[in-house]
Amino acid sequence: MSGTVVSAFEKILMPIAAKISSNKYLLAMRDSFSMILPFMIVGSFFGIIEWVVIDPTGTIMGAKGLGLGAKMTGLTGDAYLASAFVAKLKSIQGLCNLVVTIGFGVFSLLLVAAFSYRLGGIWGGDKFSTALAGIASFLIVTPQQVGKTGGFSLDYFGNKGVLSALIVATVASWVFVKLSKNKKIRINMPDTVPPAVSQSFAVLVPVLITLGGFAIFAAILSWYDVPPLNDLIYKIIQAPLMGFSQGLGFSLLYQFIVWFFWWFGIHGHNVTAAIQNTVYMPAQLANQAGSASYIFSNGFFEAGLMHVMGLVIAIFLFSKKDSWRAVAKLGAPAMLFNIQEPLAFGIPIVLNPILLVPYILAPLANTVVGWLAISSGLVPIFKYVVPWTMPMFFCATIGTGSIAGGILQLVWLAMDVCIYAPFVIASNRIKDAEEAEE
Amino acid sequence: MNIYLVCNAGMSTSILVKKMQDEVAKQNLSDVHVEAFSVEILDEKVATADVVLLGPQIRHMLDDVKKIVNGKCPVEVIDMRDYGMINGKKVLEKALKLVKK
Repeated sequence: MSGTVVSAFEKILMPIAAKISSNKYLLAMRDSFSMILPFMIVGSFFGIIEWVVIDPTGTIMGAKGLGLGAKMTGLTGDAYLASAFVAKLKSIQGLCNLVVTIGFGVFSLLLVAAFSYRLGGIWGGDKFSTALAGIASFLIVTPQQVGKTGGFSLDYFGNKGVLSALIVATVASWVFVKLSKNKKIRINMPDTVPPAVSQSFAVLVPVLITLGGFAIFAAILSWYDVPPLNDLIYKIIQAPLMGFSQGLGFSLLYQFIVWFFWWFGIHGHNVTAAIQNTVYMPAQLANQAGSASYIFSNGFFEAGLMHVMGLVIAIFLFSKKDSWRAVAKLGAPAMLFNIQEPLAFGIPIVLNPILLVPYILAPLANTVVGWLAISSGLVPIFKYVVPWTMPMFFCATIGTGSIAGGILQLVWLAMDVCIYAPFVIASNRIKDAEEAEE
Repeated sequence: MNIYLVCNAGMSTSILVKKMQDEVAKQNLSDVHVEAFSVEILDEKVATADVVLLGPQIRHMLDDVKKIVNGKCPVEVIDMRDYGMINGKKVLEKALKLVKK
């Protein structure tokens, strides 16, 4: 590829990346997801304990797995299931589930709080009040009874609520912040009143209008027998969006964009974070909650980050370039934890015409093979949230709750080495010309 | 003196920071402090910065970072090669040179 084509592309891509990355709204969204991430990882951790480690009939305790339960009690079959040991495990499972509910069952509620807080910040309102206004508005448009008794259904707070959480938080925060900056509707207290008291009076009218507005909206829907807002948003926008994003074509396009940006040295995941957060994260949550089984989820794509390790191994095996071998040695430890920047900029992969093809082809090939492996049932879906820096094999083993996941990553790695190898070998030949140039 | 490195999550930058800190110890520069963090929290840290360096993977955010720093201290993108080679010595030299300017 000639230099002019590259720079022409760069001229197009850099401003796009700059625009997306500096968009305050998208930044706030990304930031609010990262605020919630620790809660999801902790929820996932308790989920793994609940469903994998201490499940009396699961992989470790159950007869189909390691059968540790039978060994510990000396009982099998119905006698084992009726034992006090199993009852104890089940009660611990129930306690673990309390934490799982925080990370997954009420994920959207946490999201409303975090996103409203951030939006309050960028739009110049009081952050904490904005967060409270967001939560309150979200609860107002959520049906406040289950069947005939009062209460909230977790259905509205989990993965199905992600998009309505984002929309309601946006509208509520915007209205609230705009109103609270309006001096005409501010109730001013005399200076002698403590600041905390006068602050609460200052936002009284904005809170009244924001909550009142959402209440009227909810009332109108109910009078005309329209389903509640959360259901509407889910059915009209989120469900079709999720269905569309599960297509192999869309997933390949997503991967292509991510890695194409990276090849230009631009943080591709940063640029596409909005796609990831609105479709692949809810997919992951749905998987974890057991309410659906989506092949393409956050965990799936994060497991595929290891493809650059294929390049490292191909270099160790086939490269005669000392500079490449030196960088590979230097970058390998970070790459174990899926941090690819030293390699991207050191080899460099970035703007390197020889590596353009495998660098994009490898993750696409992983996507197709992963899709085949999961849709044929060889590998379970990616169910548990794992930090993206989790080393290969462990990452997908924990993520899928099965060794088959780890094996999939090893298969990917072998395939990636094969994809990178010819290009690494080809680069050996141009060694002299390049070095003479330097 | 505070040298701040920013990138997307402060992950790969922290590897470089480790090398820079080793170099700081080697050269006995007791007043030099090197730290890495996500670009998202730069606005909270900017008051104490003496120089801000960007990881090359977020070089498209240079204008935005310059706006946040608002002329308070020098801002520059780390050289791709030095970043990739995790060359703590060279990046530290560059940072010190920028501060002196």
